[in-house]
Amino acid sequence: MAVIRMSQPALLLNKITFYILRARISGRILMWITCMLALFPFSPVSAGGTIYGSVTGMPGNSPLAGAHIILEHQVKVAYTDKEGRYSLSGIAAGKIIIGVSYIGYKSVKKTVTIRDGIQLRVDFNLEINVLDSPEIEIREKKPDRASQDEPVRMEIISAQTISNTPGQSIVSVLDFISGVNLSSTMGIFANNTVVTLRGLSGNDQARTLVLLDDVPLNKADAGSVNWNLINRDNVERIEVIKGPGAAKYGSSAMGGVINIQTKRPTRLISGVGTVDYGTFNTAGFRYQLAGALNPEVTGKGFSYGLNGFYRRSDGYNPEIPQYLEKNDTFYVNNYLREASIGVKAGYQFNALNMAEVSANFFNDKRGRGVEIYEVDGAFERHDTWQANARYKGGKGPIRWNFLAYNQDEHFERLNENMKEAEYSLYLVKSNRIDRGASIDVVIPSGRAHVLTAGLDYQYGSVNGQDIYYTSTDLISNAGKMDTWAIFFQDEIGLLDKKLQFNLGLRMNTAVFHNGSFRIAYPSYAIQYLVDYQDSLFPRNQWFQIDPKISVQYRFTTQSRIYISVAQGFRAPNLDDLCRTGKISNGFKIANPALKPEVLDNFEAGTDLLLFKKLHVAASLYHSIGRNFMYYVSTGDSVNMGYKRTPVFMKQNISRVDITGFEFDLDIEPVKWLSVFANYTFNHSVISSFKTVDTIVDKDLNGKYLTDVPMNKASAGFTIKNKVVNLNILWKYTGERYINDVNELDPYLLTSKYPAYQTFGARIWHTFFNHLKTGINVDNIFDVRFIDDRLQQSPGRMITLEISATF
Amino acid sequence: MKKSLICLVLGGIFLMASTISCKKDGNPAPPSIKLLTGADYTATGAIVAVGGKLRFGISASSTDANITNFVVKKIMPDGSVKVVLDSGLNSTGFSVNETFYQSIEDEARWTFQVMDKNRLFSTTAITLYKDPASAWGGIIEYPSIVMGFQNSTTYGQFLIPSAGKVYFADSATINQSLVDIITYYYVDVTPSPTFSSAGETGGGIVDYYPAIGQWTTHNYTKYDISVDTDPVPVSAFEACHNDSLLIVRYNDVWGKRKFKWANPGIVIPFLTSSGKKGLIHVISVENDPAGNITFAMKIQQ
Repeated sequence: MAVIRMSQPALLLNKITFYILRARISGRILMWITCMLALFPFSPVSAGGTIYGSVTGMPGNSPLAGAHIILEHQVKVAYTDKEGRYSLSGIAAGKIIIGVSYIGYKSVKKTVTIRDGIQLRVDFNLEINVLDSPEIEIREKKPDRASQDEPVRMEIISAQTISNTPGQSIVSVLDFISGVNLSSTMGIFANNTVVTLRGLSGNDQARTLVLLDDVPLNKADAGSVNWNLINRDNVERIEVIKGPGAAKYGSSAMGGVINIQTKRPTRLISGVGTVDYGTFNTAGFRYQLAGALNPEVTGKGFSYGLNGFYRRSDGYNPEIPQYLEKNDTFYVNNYLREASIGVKAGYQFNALNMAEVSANFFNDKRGRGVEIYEVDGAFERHDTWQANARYKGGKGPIRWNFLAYNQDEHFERLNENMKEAEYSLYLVKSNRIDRGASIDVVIPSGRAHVLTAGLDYQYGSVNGQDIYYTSTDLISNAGKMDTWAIFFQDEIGLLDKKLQFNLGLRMNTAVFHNGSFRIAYPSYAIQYLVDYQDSLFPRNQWFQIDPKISVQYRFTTQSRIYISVAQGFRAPNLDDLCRTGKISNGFKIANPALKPEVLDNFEAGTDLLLFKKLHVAASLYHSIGRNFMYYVSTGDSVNMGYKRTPVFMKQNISRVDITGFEFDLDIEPVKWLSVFANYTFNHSVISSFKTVDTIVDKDLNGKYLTDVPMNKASAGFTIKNKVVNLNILWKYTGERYINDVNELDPYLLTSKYPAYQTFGARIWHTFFNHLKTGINVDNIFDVRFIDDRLQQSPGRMITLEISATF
Repeated sequence: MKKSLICLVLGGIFLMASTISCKKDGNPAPPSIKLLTGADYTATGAIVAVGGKLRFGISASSTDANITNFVVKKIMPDGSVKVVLDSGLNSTGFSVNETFYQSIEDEARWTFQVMDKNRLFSTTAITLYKDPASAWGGIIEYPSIVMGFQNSTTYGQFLIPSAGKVYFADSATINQSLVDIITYYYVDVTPSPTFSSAGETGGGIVDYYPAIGQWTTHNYTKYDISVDTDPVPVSAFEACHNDSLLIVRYNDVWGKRKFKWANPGIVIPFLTSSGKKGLIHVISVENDPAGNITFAMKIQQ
């Protein structure tokens, strides 16, 4: 056993952390932090030599996270971190063989000589494995090894898992991960899909951060994410990081972070092309092409990438006849047409320095199931331009990253309706810009510390208009928000990295400005809005500090325990800050003074490898949300011409308590079979709510959060052999409250959406290592579930798919 | 140097990708609108007695974009504006006859405006005057009428206001051209006693009374729903013995094809398809599809 003693850096760090955090966070957090610091104040002094280095993949020399490092004839194993780094210490002196393996790359072994007290650097640059045959498609649903890199609960979904899941959209894959709550009644036809984590309401994407190649997809306007613009074939992997990650990622990382990484060029030319056809006359193709112009030269040269997709469908009618009101509206199928193209170009200067630019364009048009006079009926359309530039550099052990991004979304929603013989047609048009830049530097310090420091700037703006055609009204709103942040992180690895601390702190300041709400040419019907115009809302500035501390101990490479205390926040949306208008139960006015919601999370978890094949993971957490935003009355009312209705305003007024538990297991009893199962429990309630007007406001004290199933489970298995491969998936989604007051929905005549379960299957076979054919059956038993807009899911969808890889 | 050049090239591509955009230019023509003239129509400068019929023929067309909005409003000499019609449509053009009734203002400039989907407007107008010799007209007063809802076998559901007679569906079909008011109990999330007319053919009325679907005459009575925010006092209703209150309180633009939540105490202005304005004072309601509604009514003679 290694001898341990108190280290001066650890003591100093403890003190600094204590004083920084004491100034800001609650007593309960302090108690947790203090306990953890008291438990783990040690660093080791170990005998033997040390091997460290990095693992990259040719030809782009991109760091490979989660690569498996093994010392032959010794019980020493390590995995590379996100930067591709690894370290093994306490190695007995002598000649040893060190090997590295990584999915899709050729394994490499090197022989080195180790001496006591000496640190030896050994880097690996792996070559792509050209024959990516079905036999090496492994670990379909098992948590990736990298999921234990950090003391958090993180799951990684590989490209192969995505490819082998029967669902038609990228989000359908996420639904089989514990802790994930998917709200997407209409599947591929949905344009308001919400994916949340850890018991937060399933109707607000702003509380879960979604990144695409490290670029935030949540828009400042409403926090929403357009999941449709992601090309499944271009995704290399998805990291689902559960629990608050604001200390590193900033706003929206309350429930967690979903980080989608796209594929990178690995060979002279490689790619995949897929065509599919299925239910509702749904047809499409996807492609991904990438290459490096100089693959044989290690660490230098241009690389490129091209990807895109097209899909169209006749759609289905989501309306449920029994809930239709008697009016003159004509309900039709909610068709879809979507297309995307993306390009990427990069240059690798040397093993550590590379620059890359990428651009992506997405266009879609999704019918909303109503058609009266307009040829395409009511619809939603996005034109989204994305452009990113990044530079990854390094010198010696120091690494730095620079990222700049711009997302420009032109959104249109045409509303066409006929009600009580009155025809209305208007266009909601929004230009949403989200751009930003960040730079971070990673500096290893000594043998135990890896320090990260960075700066982050984000800008979000909205310029929206409601353009009425059947009346003269022209309503516009605008607003901008600038956010600056500085963050620090220290990853401390002790006892051969068996004991690992992560300390993080991020300080954010944001300014809402240039907000306005204006009316032009008001008709008789919206005269009441005129009084709420404001050509310049007051500026609103806020400051937010988010600490995080977590620690884990690894018994073996696949067994560990961890605890974590972290804070997350979610900035107020521009839509709430500057938009006034009708809501379902009245009329809401903008509140430019909104502050962020904050969530404190306390978590403990463990991973165990039992019987050498059964992997078990469990997490228990409790989250306290403060300043959560809800509509409350202002005490005023407005005369809408035909009725007087209360005025509501979103305010930071409630406290939310979430207690949750996740349990995962997976096993690969034999080489050709893998099985997984998981269960999620969430008890999410509003524990404190300030009622302003007891007559108008509903008391939400003790009410459950909407759209959160208390119980959720999924399971599945994959069978692989040379004849045919089969993936069967099952999921159960428990009852979810429909409205904030947990009262009976007047149409559904229940307070909760019923629980439902679905099965999905995919059967596929690969010919000649390059041609894959598959049949996907999503929702085999044609279960129809509904949402609060009384629209039903499409039910069973069968798709025939053929893809070629080269 | 090479490194800088490459960064410059990649940066340039990034900037180009960031700024690509398309702009569409054009100079579309606005829609056109004109008032039809002739003996059938009220001409500019006409002097009309209060309650007198104003008949306008309007023709509008558009070449570049469909017409989507048609507004009729009265502009008074003091600049105040009263909208009497604000309608949505989606058509390359239309030709309609609209009928309104002279109110109490001495002079009004009636403007007729169409807007197309490009939000381009065209307007035409005429000026009309009130006959200074106008006198308030007489009214018919019914102190109590009982009408049943759809499942009632005791009280009929179809009213001929001019005669004050209530019929069941079979008899009403025979007198369909005279039936202006129909009652039913709206069965929905929030059920409510409802006044409607045969003109509500696209709505729920045909579900309650299928025979109406076969009628050849569908009289369309409009009920002013703005009384929820600007109620007519019951005392004013009771004190009214000419058509002054009936004319003044009916607000054209809020005239809708049915009035839900017709609860006791409320006074509802209405306008029949024959141009008769009236007031309904709801006295009592038995809230059930087989129930009934009792009300007093005053209507222009």
